[in-house]
Amino acid sequence: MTLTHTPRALFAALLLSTLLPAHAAEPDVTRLLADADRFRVSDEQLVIETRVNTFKSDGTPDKERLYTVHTSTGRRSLVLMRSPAEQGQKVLMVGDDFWLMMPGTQRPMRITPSQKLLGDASTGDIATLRWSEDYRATLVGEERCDTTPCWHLSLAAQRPGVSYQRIELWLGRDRHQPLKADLYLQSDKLAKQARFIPDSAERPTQIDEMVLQDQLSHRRETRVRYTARAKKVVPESWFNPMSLARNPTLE
Amino acid sequence: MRNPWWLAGFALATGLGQAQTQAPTLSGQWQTAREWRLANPLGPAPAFAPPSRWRSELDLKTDARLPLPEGRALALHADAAVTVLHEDGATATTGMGRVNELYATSDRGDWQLSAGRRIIGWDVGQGFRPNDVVQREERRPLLPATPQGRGVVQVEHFGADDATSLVWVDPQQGHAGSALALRHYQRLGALDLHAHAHWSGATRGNVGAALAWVASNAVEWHASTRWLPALGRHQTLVGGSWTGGPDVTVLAEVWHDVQAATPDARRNAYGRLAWQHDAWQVSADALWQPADGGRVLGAGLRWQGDQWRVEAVWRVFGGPVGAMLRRTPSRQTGAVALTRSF
Repeated sequence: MTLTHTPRALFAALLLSTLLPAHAAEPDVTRLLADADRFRVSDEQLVIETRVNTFKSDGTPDKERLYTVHTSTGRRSLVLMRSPAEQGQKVLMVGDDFWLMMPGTQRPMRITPSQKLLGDASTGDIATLRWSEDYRATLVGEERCDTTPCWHLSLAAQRPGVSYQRIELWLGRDRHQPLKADLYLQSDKLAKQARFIPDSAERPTQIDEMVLQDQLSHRRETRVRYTARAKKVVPESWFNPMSLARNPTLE
Repeated sequence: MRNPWWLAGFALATGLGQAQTQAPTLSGQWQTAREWRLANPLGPAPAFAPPSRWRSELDLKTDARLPLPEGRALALHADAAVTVLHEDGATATTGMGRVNELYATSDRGDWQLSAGRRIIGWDVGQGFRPNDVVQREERRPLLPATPQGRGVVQVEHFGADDATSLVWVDPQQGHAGSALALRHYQRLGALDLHAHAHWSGATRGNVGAALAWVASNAVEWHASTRWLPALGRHQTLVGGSWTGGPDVTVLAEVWHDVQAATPDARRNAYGRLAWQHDAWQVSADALWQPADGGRVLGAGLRWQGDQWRVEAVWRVFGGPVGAMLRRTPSRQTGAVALTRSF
């Protein structure tokens, strides 16, 4: 290429980029993931009321659990169990570290990342609401999710304490809202399949519900519904493990 | 009013009546249980071994929040239970009430002050806790139950990764009967460190330390030791837990308890296996005292619904004829309990 041809070539490239359809351009994966996170967590410091309903494999209702989740900066979450069956239990997540407090003892105990996986909707499913802090994403490509064009991302865990080692995630092509996900354990077994239900099909602004289909043994369905979200800054000391023995239920 | 926790009770009653911003919460549980105790013919007095019984208990908890000037608040908590017992062979049913907790707390920045009757559980072990110097929880109860708290005045400071707690235990007992307990906690990533100091008229001063360390996704280690200068001895526990897959948990612990009832009971090894599937949990545990070969074998089954819980547990005491655990008043104990939470 000579200097005399350069302006013509640049013009041609500019013209091409203008004429090509928008979806052919490869999106910024980091921005895609950050956008997807915002559909579940609109602010870093939030209180989220969550209702979890579990259904047996034949569709009959099994159990219901209520949680209040406080999220904060630095990958910190405090989960307060509200259901009669779990009233008073608390789980604290600070980065990759986890503590559990049972109400009878008032004694916070260290738990392993594996222990937070216990249950149909694990504490990790309820308390972990941001992928961008825990996973490295690569773009697999543009696909169709039913009738909707979507981006397919593959997420690899960057930290040891995360619930799922690998996540295959599909996002809406235009608004980047989460549509569905396949969640894989460390053994690379498919543990759960997730569907995300937004507040509006045409103009989604937030995810109202996550439907988890167990793929291992139980074949059960778990519906995690975010019934209320509000910005709330709680004292830093709430994320101190020894503070679990305090009584913040009325704060 | 000699007991400070009555002051907290008065504050609680006042708070429940005056709290403007938020209605007090109420929760609790009702439990009815059949508890079996099979007398041990080798026990100290078989004819006087504790009989089997029916037990029903209603446990109520309430929280309230009383606004104070300058945006601060007084948090109030109460936990009270009423128990009805009917022992086999008895002509009458007995009832009793108790206050498990009744205390007030107030926050000022990173500081918190509490006063009243409160459960303060410390230490890292499951089968034995050398540094549980305030509450002294019952070890390995047949059915989990809320313990009765102790009268305390407590000052706590919380940092980002550390916390310090100073507790005046049973202040109503005066200089001779009360105690002072101090705990400092420090988090170092996956490692929790605890330093303890305790002073009372009876035991004089003693110090302790404990740690809990999450070594991997599935493995946790913990250890705790307390040095008793008056006896020139220590109490020490070392243990670990392993979580296999999403449903299996294994716990193993060994400990040395210099304050055990007999020298043969000082060294202990304990293991517990639990398997959870949906609403069901099955568990088995074993306690072994190697000095005389005494052992306790246990098994449990539990079902947890939204509001109802059913659990059954059975324990068998055994070992060589001379072993201390072979000569306990009951040869076998067991229980079936139905619990309704609300």
